[in-house]
Amino acid sequence: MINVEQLLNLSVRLAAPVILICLGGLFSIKVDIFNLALEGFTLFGCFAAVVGTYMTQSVMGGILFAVLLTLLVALVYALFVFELDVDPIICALACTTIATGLTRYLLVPIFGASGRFILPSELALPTIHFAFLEKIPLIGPVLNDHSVLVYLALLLPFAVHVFLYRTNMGLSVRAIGKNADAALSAGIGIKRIRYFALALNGVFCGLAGAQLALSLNMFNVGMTDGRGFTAIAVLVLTGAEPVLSLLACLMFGFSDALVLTLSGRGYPVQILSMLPYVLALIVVIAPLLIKSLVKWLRKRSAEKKLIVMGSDVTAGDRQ
Amino acid sequence: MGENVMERKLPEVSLKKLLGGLSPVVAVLIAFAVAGLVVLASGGNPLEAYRALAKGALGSWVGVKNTIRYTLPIILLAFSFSICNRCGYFNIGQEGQMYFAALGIAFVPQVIPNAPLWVQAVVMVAAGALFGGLISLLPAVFKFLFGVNEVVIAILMNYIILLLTDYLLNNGPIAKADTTVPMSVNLAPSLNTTLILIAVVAIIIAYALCIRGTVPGYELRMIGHNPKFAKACGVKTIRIVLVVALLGGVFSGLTAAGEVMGVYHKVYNNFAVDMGFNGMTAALIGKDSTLGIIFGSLILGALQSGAVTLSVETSVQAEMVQVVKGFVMLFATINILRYLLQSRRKEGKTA
Repeated sequence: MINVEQLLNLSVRLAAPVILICLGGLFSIKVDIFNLALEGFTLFGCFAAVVGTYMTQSVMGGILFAVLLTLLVALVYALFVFELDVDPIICALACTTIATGLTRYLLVPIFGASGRFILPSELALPTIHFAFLEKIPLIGPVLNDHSVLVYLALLLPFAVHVFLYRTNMGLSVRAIGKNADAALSAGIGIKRIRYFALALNGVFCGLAGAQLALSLNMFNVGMTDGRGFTAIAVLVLTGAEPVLSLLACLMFGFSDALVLTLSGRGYPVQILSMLPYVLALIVVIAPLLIKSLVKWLRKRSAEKKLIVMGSDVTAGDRQ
Repeated sequence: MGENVMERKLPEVSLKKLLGGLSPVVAVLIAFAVAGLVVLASGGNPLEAYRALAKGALGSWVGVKNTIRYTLPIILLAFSFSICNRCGYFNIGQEGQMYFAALGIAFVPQVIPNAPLWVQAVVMVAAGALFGGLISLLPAVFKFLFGVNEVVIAILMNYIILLLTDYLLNNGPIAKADTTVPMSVNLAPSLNTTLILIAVVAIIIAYALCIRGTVPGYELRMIGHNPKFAKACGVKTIRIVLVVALLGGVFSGLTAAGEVMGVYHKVYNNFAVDMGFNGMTAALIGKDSTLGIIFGSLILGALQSGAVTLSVETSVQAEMVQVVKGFVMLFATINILRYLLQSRRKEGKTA
């Protein structure tokens, strides 16, 4: 029998990095950059978090280093896309390739390890235990005992929502996404805001990388495992709305947790592991499929009406 | 006066063409320099590393042979990316297509075990092309029916197909029992290396001629330059893009056939890892021109073949090659010389 509370607790933990990546990608999409480099940014974040933690011997140092490095990477990406007119998709794929190659390469000179590096266990990301949550049934055990980054991931979507819909800066960001030329003629400094959005994207991916790597206490080559692309699928589904994205990411966290829990029970691991990716595919395709189906049906019924009207007119003419 | 203008214009056009041709070379050089800085920063000697790479790739007959062996699949994969890129369709599902094609290839001897070997070999190549092509059609169909971004779909499908391959190589009729590394049973029908070389050369020539000299090739280039104009001219855009996506998959499938039947003689779990990115990088270096693609593929093939010597002879690990490739891809997309020229012209104007 599966322990539901444990499963849900694990879901929240596994959803946290995807939520943070999603919030990062959201800012890029809002300023009209379809950012496929999320995967690369996050991988840099994971690596930097482990390096920072190892060098400073403190978790805070790791998180800070991860955020700073991804911020830098995101700004370089922005430089290439905005100033040098590189195709954002190609630049993103190049960034992901460089992230994979560099992290794999640098593991050896920095740690003397190849493939993976495991941090000493006293450098684990500490979890926070709230006494008052114990009294609430179900929700208490699910939300308790997470790291500070997980709570941040659960709260930030609401903050981002407030930022986007209640502040001037948020309005400018949304305006650029809707119509950059109109925003420019309204006196919004497009370039400044775009760099700002990309910088935020970097910061969020850094936090995501830190949570991903430090919650497992290690760095593993290619440990992001398509989470960046899952985040993009979520953003396509929700139309880049922060709170909706939070819910969708929790669903992905649940599917990940289900895979982890079930894979120890004799089910084929490979087929189970497909679940999140299949879910992401369905999530991307289904709404658009329904939309085009509805459109087609409407068009057909409208055509029928036209034909009926047309036959009326011709009948009248003959009389 | 009129003659003067003519005279002034002519050299500029040829200069532009020359610069366009030189730009990929400069991009590759810059990428090598940046990767060299990374090596230097991590305590290695970049010059020594590059010397070892060159020696490994071109220093001996075995090295040259290896370089050619790695270059051929990259050329085909670059075609697979480039032909789709020409009409604005972004095909990055090559790895998934290759795994799927390899599965199709591995199943052929199970289906027709009693046929003569050469019949099996022909059917296997055809199966590779078919499976690769069909799986490549899926993202294209989704894109044109529902407007879904093809990159996201292709990448998610890559993950799913990789897991499917992993599953079928562990359980099922084609899985080899009692191995630690998941792989398929040995495949008896094989392809000769010389045969593969001849086939690839034939494909290169056919590809170049088709793109330049036939009506579909012209329509393809027209869609790439201006899709609205092409549509107004009566080109059936969607049909052509679907055919092109199919062709892209066929190229990947043929690559898989070459790798599985010509090199490994079985399907490995990770045999196509990073190959899709190599093909894309080569296409980006070559800026979709056939000669450029061959140049780009040769560089990437040499890098791959020299990687072994690199890790044996120097303290720098073979992973550095991937760093170089990433930077090559990044810089290949900027038309560096044109950019420099423009900024200088701007300065001249303001001065």
